[in-house]
Amino acid sequence: MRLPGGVGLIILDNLCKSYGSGKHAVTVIDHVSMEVTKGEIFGIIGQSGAGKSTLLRCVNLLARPDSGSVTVGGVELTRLNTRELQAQRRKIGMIFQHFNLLSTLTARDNVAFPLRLEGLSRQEIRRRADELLEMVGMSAHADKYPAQLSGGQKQRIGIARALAGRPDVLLCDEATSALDQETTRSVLALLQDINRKLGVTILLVTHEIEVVRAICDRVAVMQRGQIVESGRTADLLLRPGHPATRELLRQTEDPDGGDASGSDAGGTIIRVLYSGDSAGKPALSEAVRGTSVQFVILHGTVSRIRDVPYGRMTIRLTGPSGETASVIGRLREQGWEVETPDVL
Amino acid sequence: MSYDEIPWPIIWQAARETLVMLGASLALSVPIGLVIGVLVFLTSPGQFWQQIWVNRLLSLIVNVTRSVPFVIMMIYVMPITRWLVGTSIGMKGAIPPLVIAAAPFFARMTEIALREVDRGVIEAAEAMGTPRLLIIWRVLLREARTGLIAGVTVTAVNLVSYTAMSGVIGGGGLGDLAIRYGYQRFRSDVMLVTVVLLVILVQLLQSFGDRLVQRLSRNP
Repeated sequence: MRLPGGVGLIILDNLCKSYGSGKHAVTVIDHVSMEVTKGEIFGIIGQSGAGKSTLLRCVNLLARPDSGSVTVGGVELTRLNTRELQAQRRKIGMIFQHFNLLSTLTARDNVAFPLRLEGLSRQEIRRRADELLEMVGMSAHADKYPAQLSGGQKQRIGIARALAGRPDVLLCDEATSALDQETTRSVLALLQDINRKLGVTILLVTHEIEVVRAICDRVAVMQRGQIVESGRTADLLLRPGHPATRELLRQTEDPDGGDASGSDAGGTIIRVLYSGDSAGKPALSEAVRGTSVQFVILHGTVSRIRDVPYGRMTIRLTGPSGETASVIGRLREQGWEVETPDVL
Repeated sequence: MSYDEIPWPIIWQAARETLVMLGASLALSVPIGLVIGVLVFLTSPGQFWQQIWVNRLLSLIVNVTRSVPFVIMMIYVMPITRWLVGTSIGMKGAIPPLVIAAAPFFARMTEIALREVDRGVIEAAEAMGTPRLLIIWRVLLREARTGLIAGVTVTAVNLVSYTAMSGVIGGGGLGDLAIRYGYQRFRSDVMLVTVVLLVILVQLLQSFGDRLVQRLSRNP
């Protein structure tokens, strides 16, 4: 399945950036090129210090790349003067890890802040602000100050403010990293809603694989200023190619592979992975039919990444070795990926 | 020495002079100091008008002015005073040196207050495409307002003590009265009255400032 569109809404071309100079220069972004397609939710994941937040800031030029170009919605931002850039930035929303709301303004006035820049009438500003508050479910808190709100509520205000200029793009800088799991889930659901209903393209940066798993269509993995791997979320999470990706996945994976229970019971232990179309088939029972091979599932996960169903299991096969080999062959014919002890 | 010998009309006259000097110099020092403070802050490394040399120069001027004792400053700036207001003595002549002393002080207070503003909030405003002058006005000064008011209060209290020294150039005021009557004529009753009045003035300024800060604070 290919993603619709194909024209990059955000195009980063050969960006480089370093801080400091001479001997102390630190390269934060090292020749990064990437494209974000209109309508998608794109994630950039990496350990802290990988350069992902700086990369995100390059999109609206809060951080200026030393070289390379940034194009958003067909406009090459890196060529604009200050005034033109300010005008373009109004079409790019941004939310932050620490929300960055004005502490001296009420929730409504925070949302109204970007509206005031557009020279709308007082009534129009108020109407739009209330509309935005309603959309993020914060109408009841319109007259409260940020200090009176919880983290999740503040982020909702941040989202409403970011959407005030009816942006095509929303940049999210670790938007859920300061929130607990429950709140993270609700904020992610809101972001997904905004993506679907308003068609806002979302580029987000996170160190949490769960965020990527939950809402990203595509993902890029960053390490030491470079994008080391990128692709569709399901592909990348199920078949990580780069050590950095595996390292990120290890954070959330069940540490015991289920192997312990099967180690001295004999038989052949295999690990299988299936996804997409092959997930719906009774492949395992088909594979052992007509043989004397028996199977025990030692450990497994059956789930879905975005719209891709998948399963990952550790299985013990017992039976004559010739038959076991043919069972493994049949599983592979069904499109299953099988890791056998030799490979392990 | 009895109570009714206290020269009340002279004391009220001096009190009025103190208030005029305080009001005029504060009214001038605050905007001047605010502009200098904002410039010092915005030209410092990492801010959007980053200009290391402008920053160092401004900072140096602020520091030099602040390190000259007021009594000396008053005499030192006399040519400037004369050029500005046509005289270097009297209440009128006292106002320029008061401003020259208090504005850099308030500039430093302003800079400190602005440093307290969350960098992320400025970044958010930039990300929204806010023009820089509006960032200064609607974000920086607004978010720093309690610190700024606290700075005005401290500056005002400082000015009260500066005005006491303006007697040297015939500036008048309560401090001057305390020296001329209380010290030179051994009228300790007049001395006491002026000191009490000065204490009351400082108390009023401080509590007014504190109350304003409290009312405008949005961080419980």
